[in-house]
Amino acid sequence: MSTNGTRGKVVVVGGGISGISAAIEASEAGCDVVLVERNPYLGGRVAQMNQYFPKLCPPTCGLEINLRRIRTSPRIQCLTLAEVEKVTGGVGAYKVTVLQHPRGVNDKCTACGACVDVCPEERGDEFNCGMASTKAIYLPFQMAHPPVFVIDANACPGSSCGKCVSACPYDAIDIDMKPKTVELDVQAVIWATGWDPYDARKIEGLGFGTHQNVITNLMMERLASPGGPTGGKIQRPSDGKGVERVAFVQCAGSRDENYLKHCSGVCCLGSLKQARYVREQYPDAEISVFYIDIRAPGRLEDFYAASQQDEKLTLIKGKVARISEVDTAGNLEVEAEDTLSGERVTQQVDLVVLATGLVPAGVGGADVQGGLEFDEHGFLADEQPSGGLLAAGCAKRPVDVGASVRDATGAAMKALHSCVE
Amino acid sequence: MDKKVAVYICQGCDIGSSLDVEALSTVATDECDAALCRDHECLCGEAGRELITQDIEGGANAVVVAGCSPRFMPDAFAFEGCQVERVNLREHVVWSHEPNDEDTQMLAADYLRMGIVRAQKAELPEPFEEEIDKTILVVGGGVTGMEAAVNAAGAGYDVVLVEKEAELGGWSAKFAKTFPHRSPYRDPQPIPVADRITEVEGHDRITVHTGTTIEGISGQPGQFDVSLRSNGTTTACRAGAIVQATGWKPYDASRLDHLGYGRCPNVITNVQMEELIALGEIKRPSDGKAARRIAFVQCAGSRDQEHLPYCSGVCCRVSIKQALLAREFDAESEAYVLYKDIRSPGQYEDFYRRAQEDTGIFFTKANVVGVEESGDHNLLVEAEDTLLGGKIQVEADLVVLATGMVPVAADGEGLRRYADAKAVVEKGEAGGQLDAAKQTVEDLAHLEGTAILNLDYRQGPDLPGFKYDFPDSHFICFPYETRRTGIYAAGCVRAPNDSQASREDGAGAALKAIQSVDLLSRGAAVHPRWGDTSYPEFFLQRCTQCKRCTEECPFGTLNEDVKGTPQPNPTRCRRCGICMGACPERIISFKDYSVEIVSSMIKSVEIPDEFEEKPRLLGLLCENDAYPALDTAGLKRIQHSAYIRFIPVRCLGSVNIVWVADALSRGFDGILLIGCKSGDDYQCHFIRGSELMGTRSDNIREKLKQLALEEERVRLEQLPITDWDKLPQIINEFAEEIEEIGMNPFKGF
Amino acid sequence: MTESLLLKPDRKFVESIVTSGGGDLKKCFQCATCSVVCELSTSRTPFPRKEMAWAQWGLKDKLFADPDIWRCYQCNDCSTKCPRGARPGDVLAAVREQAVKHYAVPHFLGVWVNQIKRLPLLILIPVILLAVALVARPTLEQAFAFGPPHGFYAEMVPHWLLIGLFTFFTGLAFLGAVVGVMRFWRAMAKADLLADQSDNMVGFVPSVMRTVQSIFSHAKFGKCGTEAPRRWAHILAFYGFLALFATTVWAVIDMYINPRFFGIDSMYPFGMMHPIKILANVGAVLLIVGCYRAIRDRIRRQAEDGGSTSFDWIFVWLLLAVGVTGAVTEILRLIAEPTGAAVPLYTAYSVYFVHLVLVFGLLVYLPYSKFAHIVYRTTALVYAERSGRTREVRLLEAGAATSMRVAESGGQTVNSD
Repeated sequence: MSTNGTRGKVVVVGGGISGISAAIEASEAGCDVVLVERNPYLGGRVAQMNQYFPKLCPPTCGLEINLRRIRTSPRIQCLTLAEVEKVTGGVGAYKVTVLQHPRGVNDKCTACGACVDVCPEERGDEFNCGMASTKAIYLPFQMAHPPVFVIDANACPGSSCGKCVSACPYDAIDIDMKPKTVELDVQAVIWATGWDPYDARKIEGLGFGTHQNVITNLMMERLASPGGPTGGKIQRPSDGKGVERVAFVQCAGSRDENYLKHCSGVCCLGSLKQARYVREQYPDAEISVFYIDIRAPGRLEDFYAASQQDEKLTLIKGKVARISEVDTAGNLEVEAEDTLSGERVTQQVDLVVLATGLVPAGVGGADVQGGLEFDEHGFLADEQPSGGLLAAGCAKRPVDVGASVRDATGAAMKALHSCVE
Repeated sequence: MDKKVAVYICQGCDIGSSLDVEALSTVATDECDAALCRDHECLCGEAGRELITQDIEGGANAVVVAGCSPRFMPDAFAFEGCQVERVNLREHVVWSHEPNDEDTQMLAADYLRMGIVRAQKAELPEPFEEEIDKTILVVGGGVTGMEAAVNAAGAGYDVVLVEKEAELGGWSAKFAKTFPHRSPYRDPQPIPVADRITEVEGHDRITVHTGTTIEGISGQPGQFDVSLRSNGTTTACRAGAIVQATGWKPYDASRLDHLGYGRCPNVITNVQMEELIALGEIKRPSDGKAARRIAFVQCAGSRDQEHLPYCSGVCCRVSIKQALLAREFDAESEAYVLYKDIRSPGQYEDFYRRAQEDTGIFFTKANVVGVEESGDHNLLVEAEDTLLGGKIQVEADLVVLATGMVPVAADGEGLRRYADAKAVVEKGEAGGQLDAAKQTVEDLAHLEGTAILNLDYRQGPDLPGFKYDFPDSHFICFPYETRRTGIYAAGCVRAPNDSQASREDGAGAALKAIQSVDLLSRGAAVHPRWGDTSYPEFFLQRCTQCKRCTEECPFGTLNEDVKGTPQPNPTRCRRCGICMGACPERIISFKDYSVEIVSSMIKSVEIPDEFEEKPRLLGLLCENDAYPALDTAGLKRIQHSAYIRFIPVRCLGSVNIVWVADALSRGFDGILLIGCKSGDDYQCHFIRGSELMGTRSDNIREKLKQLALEEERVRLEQLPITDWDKLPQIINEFAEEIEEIGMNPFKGF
Repeated sequence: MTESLLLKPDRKFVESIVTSGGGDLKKCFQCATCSVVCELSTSRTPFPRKEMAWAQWGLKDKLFADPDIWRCYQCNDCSTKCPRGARPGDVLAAVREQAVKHYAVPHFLGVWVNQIKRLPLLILIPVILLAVALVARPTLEQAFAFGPPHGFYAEMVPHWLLIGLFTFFTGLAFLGAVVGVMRFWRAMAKADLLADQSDNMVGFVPSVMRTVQSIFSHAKFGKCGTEAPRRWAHILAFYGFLALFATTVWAVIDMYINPRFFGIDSMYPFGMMHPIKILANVGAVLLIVGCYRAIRDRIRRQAEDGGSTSFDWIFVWLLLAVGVTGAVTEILRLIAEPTGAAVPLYTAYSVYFVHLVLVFGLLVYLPYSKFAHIVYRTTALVYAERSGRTREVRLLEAGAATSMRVAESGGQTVNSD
């Protein structure tokens, strides 16, 4: 088992923080790794975050280090816009079939952006939760990796237009690129498929989708991000005005048998963190956080304690069950019972942030021989029927970034065993 | 070996159309004596790379590629065995400056000069050759330690497992059941610890030492000489890396007098409750009668500034488990859970719901203010802020205090300060120093004998404690990065965890340990400069024993001999270069990164004389965060002043103030230092880099005063990587300020 | 509340709630969604969140002294929106059942009346009483020299006997109810956290007026979303019963008061076209239809999520039976009277006997059956109005420390509950 030669090969499904970590750790322990990501870029959900709690540091900082390790690693191969179709075989010898969707742009791309200037079509920018738009050919975000443009086939008129093709000096654009299937022989598969935000439109009474100034926590991250739709300025979707009164609604759909039964574990800190974003930009803003239980494990308690020192931040133990628009200006009224005073509180606010939960993203359409085991919430079980199939991060349990990274490292360790066997 | 430097200028991505490439070529060949200079419309393309490969075959051994940022196309410009310097003409020049402008051209020329000088001065690092032992030492035989041991051994590595208790298993072996770790998350389940113990003891790659402590660990990763002490006898062994899984101890409940502990016999801790549960029935300590009314007081001494400010994360689930078991033992019993917040994250919401469904378990949020006896050793728990309307009292036969977890760790740096102070006191030197030392000894006396690893490190015998003595560092992105290379903390010593998280943690730490020994065997660095084979070399003849390098290294790399001369330990090193920045004698250097190399780069910049009204600014910026930020600004085509010349550094802590002096005497008008955030929530990948630079730049300002120069000429900025939109502003503002101050009077001297 | 309350967690009580329809009680984790979605809950003492907490701990004294449990009409808006599936609406119904039992005088009746197994005995009591009365009839007639009875059924049971018997026992029941209500009122006053806030007090008479108005308009039922149909069932049964009660009382007045004291000849027996008769028949129809709809509705809900107990069933069936037997009695009279034949006559008499037994059950057992909500709910609503807890006050949290109250207009106040 020489350390310069390879120990074996591992597929990591999902290029979020868990997948990236698992891939890097496995590769740095001598495994060859194929990283399969459904998006055109790596980073997953953390790439959409503005800052991490409790340090209020940008995810990009850690991502940059990790991406450098990936860029310079001879052992890691990244397949973006790709998804696992099929897994056959058993421990130590799996055959994984990966479908890679056409990117429309090849590796010759230098990210110079000449194509964007000529592209006539626009598309809704899902990276910014639809709050902005990009051209049909676009770079997902400023620090996206790979730094290669991508064409949205749904928005692009195709070769009939072809303006970008002629604009590209490096012949990097191939509008008619075909999907391709990749067959991989590996010893282990790490499922780090992460999470999707719960669809807030399903939640009765909270008005998401009908009241413009009711947004989700993920939208808030984008609003606060320098690379976001507003260049980092927190403002109301309805009129672009600043905010003076903001309400954070915890457990929006979470811990609720009618919607999402489990607790996502990270939303409390997420909201307290976003309250800091607001405070940063609006020193006098009135902020209220409506909660059932504040869940700040470990040293995160410090962050909670610090938030309680903010005199213009009110914590109200009681779930918001009704949000209504009080006027045409889009001002809102939230209602809850302050269970400690036993009185019902009605509050007028400019902006409501729904702390929506994490829904396990699952494994898409992947057809796995012998099947995968999920719990009743849709999270992957810790132990899978086939020993070389490993789950990591939020695919397994809703956890914060640190826990995801640790879990991913542990999964990489176990993958190593399948390689040794 | 003599250098043959070949320079290549890419015309692509607006470079050709914005710069006079001809002129640049002349700079390279005529002025900088490059062996050759070629340009190409797209260097990263096959044709372009072919061009370079041919010249390398033709004898070029150092290649300067002037084009896009080194963060792009790393593979395209990687040539085996050939040194490659990237000059960033794209993001830092043409995308962020006026095209075909005199100043832009000068900027490009200067970057080219610096690149070529670097190519000429720097050498390809040669990895050090050391004999590396790949044995993994695991300290602590609880769930975490055993998991680490089994995983490392399973991957083919020898493991030495040290446990101070007589038995393996730690706390888990003492507890009857735990809360469920798999679906359905409803009922308490047994802990499979017995099987683990058998597996560990039976494994042929694992050597178990129970009833054993660590007497000392000397040496460095890959070469740790460990001496183990077990009932009087000492045995020695060698290890390559260490996993510290020393676990936790319960918070000292005797400090919880207000909750009746110690005062009332029937007030016990959750750990004592586990012991009762293990016996199969819940009896009152006072009279052995069955406890029918059990009150659980959550956060007993936790989330409390007076005691443990943090939350141990498991106590809620532990109390729920204990309540369920108590009810299982005795259907007539009742449990009252008084909580601040119920913390049952993720799927554990199901476990909480399960307990609620039991009519004999009662929950309310409450702030417990006191516990008193009410005759026959019964207890009266008083609480306020409840959901039942105001203050309440609950009568109970037994009160269980849900106390938190305290890491079994030793504050390495504290122990070192303690030891140093004691030495001073023993010497009995006169003056204030002695009093200070006495004070320190007094303050830190509680650390006496707490050492666990007993490392022979100048900076202390154990891992430095981070907040609340949890010995980790970048706990979000890089949770295993302790401040001692090759030593990884895992489980409850790193952060309060449940047993499942601890197991995952143990596995992860085992992998990091394996990686470190593998990398070391190739003479390569671990995170964050993964794979870097350069290492600091010391020209000790000129050392003045100022000890700055030993003190300032964030990773405790250097020891000292009696005289105070640094003793390098290359495998402890993370290659940040902070020692290099610290050294006033400039005797520390890496093959490809040294005071001399950067100084010559600075000197290679062409300084227009003062009448040209073209100030020159030097920017020294962190290559990890500020540099990518500047790239992104370029990608966004945000313009910044053409007067500044940037040099990326491994860490701002590696900036030697000699560079500042050189720059000023060379005629630079201002110096901008851009690093990462320091302080409690530091973002510096080398922990203290920008913090150290902060103190150094204070000295610099002093020097400036002495030279009768305005101290505004040197500015230190802390910039998060995402502030790419602000960086150009910072640069421009600095440029304007310098223009107001006026030219550096030393120009042209 | 400054001095602290000594909790006496009562698992037995919790279990009694669980077994009488509040099965999911313990699942509640106090998020208070219920208190917000409830259309009847008001800002100062929102419910049913606090009631859920008290019920979870078995704090029955707090619950029995809480007017808010009677301000709930079990529309179950809260139950459908509860994140934990704890069904507060059903829990409150179960609590009300316990409250009725708690205030019942004599206590044993409160228990018996709602136990299926006691049903035979409960029926036997009026049967025996009537039988005894009939046997004793001749003696009494001579003793008090009552005139000959006129009217078809009076031949069987003369009115004086009927009125005497029913008035006596209903009177006893009424006394029991009065005592219960007084205890209830005192308990409420004692436990009321708002009692000190005298500025919220409302005069007794206006309180009654508001309550009566809201009862007659069924305004609160109207607010309930999830189970609006129940409103109609209740309106029909309510007005049906009222009509029948009124006509019965009028009949008594017509026969005994008018002739004696005002010299007005009795018009009894009323002809089919007589307004009183029409009112009575319409009332009967309304009562029957109302009860039918209520039962149908309960059966549907039973199928969906249980919730109905013998407490509910016994009462609603009894009411229906009273209506039906009453109607049948009348019809049989119309058939039998002309012929005078024996068979129809005795059929009519026996149905009438059954009807009397049921009416006895309905009236005399009123304070112990679900029917008691007439008295307790009315009392609670009057108290709620009087103590001002129904007044809608909006708390506009002007941020951290300060929370300023804004009382709304009086008109708003009335409609708000």
